[in-house]
Amino acid sequence: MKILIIAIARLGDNLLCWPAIRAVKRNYPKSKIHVLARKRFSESFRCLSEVDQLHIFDTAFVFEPQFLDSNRSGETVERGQNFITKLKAEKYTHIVNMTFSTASAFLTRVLTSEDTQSLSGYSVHDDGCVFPVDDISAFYYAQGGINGNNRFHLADIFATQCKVDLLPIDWKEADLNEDSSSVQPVDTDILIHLTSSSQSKTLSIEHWSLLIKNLFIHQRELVIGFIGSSEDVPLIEQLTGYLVANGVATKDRLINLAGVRLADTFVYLSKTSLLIGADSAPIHLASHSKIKTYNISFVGKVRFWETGPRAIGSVVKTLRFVDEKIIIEMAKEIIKVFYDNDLSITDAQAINDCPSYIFHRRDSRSDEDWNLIESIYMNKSIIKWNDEISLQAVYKLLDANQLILTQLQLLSKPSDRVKTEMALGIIEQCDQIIDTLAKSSNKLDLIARWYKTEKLRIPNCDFEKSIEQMILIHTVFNELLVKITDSQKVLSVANSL
Amino acid sequence: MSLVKNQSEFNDYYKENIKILESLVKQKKNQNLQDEVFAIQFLIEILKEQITNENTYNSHSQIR
Repeated sequence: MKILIIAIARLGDNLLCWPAIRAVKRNYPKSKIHVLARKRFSESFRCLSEVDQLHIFDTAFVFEPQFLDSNRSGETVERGQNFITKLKAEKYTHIVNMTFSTASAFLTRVLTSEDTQSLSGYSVHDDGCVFPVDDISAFYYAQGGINGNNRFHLADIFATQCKVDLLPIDWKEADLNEDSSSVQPVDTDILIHLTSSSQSKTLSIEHWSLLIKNLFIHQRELVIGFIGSSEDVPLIEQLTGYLVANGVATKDRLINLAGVRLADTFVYLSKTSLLIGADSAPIHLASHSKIKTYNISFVGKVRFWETGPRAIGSVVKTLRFVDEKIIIEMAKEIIKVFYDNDLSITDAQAINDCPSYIFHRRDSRSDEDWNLIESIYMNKSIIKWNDEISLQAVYKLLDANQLILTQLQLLSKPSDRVKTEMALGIIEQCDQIIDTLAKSSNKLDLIARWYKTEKLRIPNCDFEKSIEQMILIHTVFNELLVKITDSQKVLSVANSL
Repeated sequence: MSLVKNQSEFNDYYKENIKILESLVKQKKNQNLQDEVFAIQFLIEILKEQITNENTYNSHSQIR
């Protein structure tokens, strides 16, 4: 079994591939696991002993000729193709694309060959349209991301792609040796990561300053370390300099630990009790080290249940905005989390389960949406909706779908051109109706997302075959809609008794 | 590259390079070289990620 894991996202997502890779090696110890990563983020796989070979896509090298001279684009293409040819020569039996991106979809397609026995993740069809190959990738395509309703963590989604179950032993720190780590452990109580991939995902320097000041008000004896990249060092020095100058804490209680290699951060995590931060990469390092995190998560910027902390005892603080009062409350919460006192004060809490969070604050509508996803994808029974508008829209969806099915059945039999065009026209109009209904509520949107994604999975094929596949999808769609309407009828009767 | 000063100029620069690669895609399509088309489209998407600063997605809005 020769497996290629395509991991051409950034550091955070790469770190979330670790448990799945470990689980694959645990289940198939004789397998050869190769990982493809971008040069800039490849370090995340260097300290993972389960990876037999690391292939690095060097973006700068590939684009260099064209960037130097636009007439040399042919050389850039040649460099790209040479890289692909070299990878194809490895004759991978299994390809797992763990990057849910358009670029990776095209790459997966060109790497797929007659040697490929199994494929998972996004690829593209012959016409270049995205093709979520397996069910979990189709699920993520339909329901994941910032605007989706998915509650499964990416680490679990990656494991499902590999058809393996994660065990607690798959979450562990890097395999450290003298080559991968060169720092000595430093005892701290709390580690803080100030920055994030974008400023809108983390606190401002003023708010960090206020937060740290309030932490010291609650606990004078704290020792706080700051982790991050070398780019973070000036900011850390500015902040700690300000805090010391203003008497918030002495210099020995504010330690700059940034600017070291990734593996070195594990050394620092091994000697702390809590990480505070908003950026996913340090959070995942903490999850691998089983160090709890107080995760600052700005609503609409990140979906913590996909990329949040997994160490038991970790909590999530969701923020729509932040002000002085909120910061003061956060400091109180952090001290409670530090001492493991009452984790329910926060918005969500990491647990050892799948989905991996319990929510202390959320509305019932959100629970209904998640239950609907469970019923669509995991065949669970549907709870009673407090949402009559959505139910009425489902009835209309049912009508539109049945009309489409009737037309598809007509098209499956020999017919003249006029009737065929008429049927296709009706189907197109019904699809427009489905699009309009999808906008009427979150529930309708997520139902329509399933439907549209399943249609997207139909390969390019002849007319008769396409009609056959469409009938299959619309039949399943019909069953789903009937299941929803029936469940609400039964529940209404039950409630009236 | 050294003349490029800010994100907006970076984006324009990437867009120009995308156009160059797209013209190559057209050529390869006309020659029915599907694998080469997809390989170049992979490179195009890598450049697009530089503009959007985003490399994960689930809203690939291609209508078929």
